[in-house]
Amino acid sequence: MDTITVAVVSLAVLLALLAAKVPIGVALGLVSFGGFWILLNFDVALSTVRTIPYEFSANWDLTAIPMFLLMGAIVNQSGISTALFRAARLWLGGLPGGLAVATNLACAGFGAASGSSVAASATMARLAVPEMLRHGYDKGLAAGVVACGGTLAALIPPSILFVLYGIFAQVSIVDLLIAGIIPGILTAIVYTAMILIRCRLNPSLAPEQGREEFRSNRRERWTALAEVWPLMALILAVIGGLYGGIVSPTEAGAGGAFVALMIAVLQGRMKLPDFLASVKDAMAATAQIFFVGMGAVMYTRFLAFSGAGNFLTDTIGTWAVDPILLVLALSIVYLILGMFLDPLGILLITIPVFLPMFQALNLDLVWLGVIMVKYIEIGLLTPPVGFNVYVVKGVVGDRIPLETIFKGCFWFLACEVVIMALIIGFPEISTFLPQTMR
Amino acid sequence: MASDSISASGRDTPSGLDTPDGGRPDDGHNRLTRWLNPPIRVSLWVAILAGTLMMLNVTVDVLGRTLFNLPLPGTTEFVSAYYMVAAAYLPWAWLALNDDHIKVDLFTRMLSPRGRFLQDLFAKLATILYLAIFTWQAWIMAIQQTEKGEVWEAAGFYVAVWPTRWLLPFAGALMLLYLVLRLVGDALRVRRS
Amino acid sequence: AAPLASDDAQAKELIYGSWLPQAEYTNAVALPTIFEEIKKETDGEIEWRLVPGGQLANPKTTFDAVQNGLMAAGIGIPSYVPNLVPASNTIYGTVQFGTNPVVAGAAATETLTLDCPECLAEFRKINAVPLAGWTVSPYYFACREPVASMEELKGKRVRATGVGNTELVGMTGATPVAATLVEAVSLLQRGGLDCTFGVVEWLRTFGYADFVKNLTNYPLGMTGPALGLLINRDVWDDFTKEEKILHLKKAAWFSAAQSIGQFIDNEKKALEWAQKEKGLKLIEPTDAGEFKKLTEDFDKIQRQRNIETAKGFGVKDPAAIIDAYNKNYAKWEKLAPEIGTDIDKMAEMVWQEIYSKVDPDSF
Ligand code: NA
Ligand code: NA
Repeated sequence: MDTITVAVVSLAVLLALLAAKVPIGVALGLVSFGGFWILLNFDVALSTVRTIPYEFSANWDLTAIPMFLLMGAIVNQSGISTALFRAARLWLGGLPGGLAVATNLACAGFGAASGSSVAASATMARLAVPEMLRHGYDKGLAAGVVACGGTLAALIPPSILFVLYGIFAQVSIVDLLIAGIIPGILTAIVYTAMILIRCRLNPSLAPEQGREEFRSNRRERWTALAEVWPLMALILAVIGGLYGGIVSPTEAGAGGAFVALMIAVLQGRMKLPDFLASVKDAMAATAQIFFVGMGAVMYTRFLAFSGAGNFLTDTIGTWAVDPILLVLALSIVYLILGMFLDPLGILLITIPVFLPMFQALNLDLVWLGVIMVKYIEIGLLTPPVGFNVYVVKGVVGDRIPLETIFKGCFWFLACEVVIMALIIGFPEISTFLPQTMR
Repeated sequence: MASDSISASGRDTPSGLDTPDGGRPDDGHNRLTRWLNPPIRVSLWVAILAGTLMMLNVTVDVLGRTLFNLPLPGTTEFVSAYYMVAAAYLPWAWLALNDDHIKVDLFTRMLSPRGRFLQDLFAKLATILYLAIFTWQAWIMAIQQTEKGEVWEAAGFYVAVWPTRWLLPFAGALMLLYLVLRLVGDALRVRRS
Repeated sequence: AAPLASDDAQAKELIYGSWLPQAEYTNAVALPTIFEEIKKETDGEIEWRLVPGGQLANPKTTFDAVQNGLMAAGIGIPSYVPNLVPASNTIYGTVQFGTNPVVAGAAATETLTLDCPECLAEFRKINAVPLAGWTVSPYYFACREPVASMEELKGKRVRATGVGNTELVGMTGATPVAATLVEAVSLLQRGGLDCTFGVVEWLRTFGYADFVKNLTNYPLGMTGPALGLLINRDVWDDFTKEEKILHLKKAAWFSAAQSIGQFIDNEKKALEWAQKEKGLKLIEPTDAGEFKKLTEDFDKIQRQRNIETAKGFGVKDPAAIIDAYNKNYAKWEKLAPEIGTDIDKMAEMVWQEIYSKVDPDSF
């Protein structure tokens, strides 16, 4: 079989296995195993299974993953997120659609302490949706804002997806984490503007009643803020430490988790069982990621070995395509994959395909990372398989139908059209901050 | 707590980990797998210990380096070769117990009960095959590296890393055993009903 | 589409997996040159394909990948697997305090190839043939603040990895910090690190020159990190005698290209670039004598330590290996003036003095 056949067949088999609900890690591993067997021989195929997993996991750079997860788990488990939402609510509740705005910004704040958007959506759904429903908010808006606001966590550092992208694409993880800040803030701002405008034009989405309670209690506002300032300080320390080059991502994660733990203990929010539960969550999620990750490394090696990467690069080279065409093609691929696939799977399967093309055209790989992560996050919101939507559905139970949540995401997805146009049209949005570090 | 990836089961906690004993797929009615609970739990606890030590070790190293010019020698090697390996592999069987390995739910919801049964059987067999290869090879590697006395060069000394090679075949075998017993248990139940 | 690797009947396509970045000298110049020549001189019988950037194996796993045949060849660094190749690591772990990588590189290659049967045996055991060795150019301290004396190094945080370098940095009173080459960038930026200890080229390839503006102008030793053609033994055994000799000749040229093209010419260019574009200053030591004493003290300690380490890994007579290395070092010091910075000349000498004396069939 020639190069392109091998690559295409492997991809087809991979998708067939995924459709049969074979765990993603298993599907990737088996396809690569078979691929090496066909291309070389059985012994070599075995040897890849023997060496790759340990090499992949015993890796200093990837320690940022369990540590970012742990930091988010501690913040979540300690209930600091509750205080965060309370403060946002008291300060912003008076605006049109104020609770939704508050939820959106609390998502951004929690996202700055958590590396995972699914975690952010789950946490905020538990806190904010009941509150919004009690105030008569539109169900779609209430559920949509937590599902979509959660995606901010993957852009604002810390971010698991950027760590993984950095490892697989061999791009500076610090640059990527810092690059995500402005697109994350931009997304939060556009979401907020959309909520304000929609609620101003259609007050039935977010009724006035009860807004008074947020206007009057000035003192409460400041006490609420006093409760969250340690978290704000932690977030600034982590991002500042990364930006300032004082600590590496791994160290920022471990140090951030430790400081979050100290804050939680000092505020009396965390006992030993809570802490152990946080570590358990973080370690289980780590093992989940590595189970997929090692399969992805095998598949990446297989594609490299088959020469599929070279083939794609050469093909692109001969077409001499316009970067904009490439980005458009990439957008279509991600929107389709994002409808069905798991975010980690999409990231790890597509990196070896798109990276050589971007390299061939001399495009900025940090920019590509931001685009990829954005699209993956959009995929969390699109039907039929939208992980963030499922998570929110899991929390709200029978109170809101699945279709309503997907519909609620529609307006946010409309915002994403604007945001993606800006991110693609102005690469500086992503590349400016990391460049100031130079 | 979730990674950015979950099984699309739409449960409250993305990975279902907040419910250690209730509502998990196995639910304990598979008597065959019950005796695996202790080793699965112990593995998880060791991973929890590793995660805690990872946080402490790295934090002490950063503080020592930035404040007192005293980095903790060997941090990189210990964290990578010991704590990371424990965190990456030891929870595997626990994840299998909770049906929490990441998969995609695409078409299976459209299948008939019989189709769904066959799909589930196929997915389980594929997983078992993969884990069998993994465990077999990891076992060979562990023996090889133990005989060779695998070490990494650290700051001023050598760190023996061969011991953590054994975590792979252990974790693989535990998950493999669990899946096989569960499959057998399911088969027995199907025959009974 | 291109034919794939494996049992293709007419042409052998062999995979060379390199963990160095695509644009690095080894991948961009040295390897493509010898691969092109090998293809031409075998009339297309043997075609090497370079897979760069660690897509197939990293420095630690290259040995496994070559042993198992996933890669037909790769770059082997003995200090990453000291337990696998302890005798060879005795050579490659020894720091030579000269300034010419031609001398140290050729001496290390000669020692490994002709004077250390134990080295060859350990490579045979891992199913590999060790060809084309080199050492890097001297290490220097490069710091954010000017450092002209040992006193000024005290308490500085210096990136250093590996047993020998860590020890040497520690002996100056500085604090060795084990960061990866990439991590060091952000750490240097605002003071997580004060200095790096390494070759000048890193200032350019890893962008250290943006933060590091002072190079203490005293060379502090060349270590030998690499074997550029670690070839799978089954692949080697499949070669005809002519093909083996051809590869030995190309290995000699590869060693020379690395030693001169990479570690003399490129070092010089990198230094000029850093001075001109980034304002790097050369800081002359106030008392060169104290640095000289440092190297002498270290030399004594390293001999003892390397012997003990090697014995710990079961090497029978590590002292003899080190002595052979030092003897060969003296020999190549005499030959070096004749070579100068002529790659072809060095290739010829390495062939004459080393690889022509090897029996390709029993190697
Ligand atoms: Na985040
Ligand atoms: Na989707």
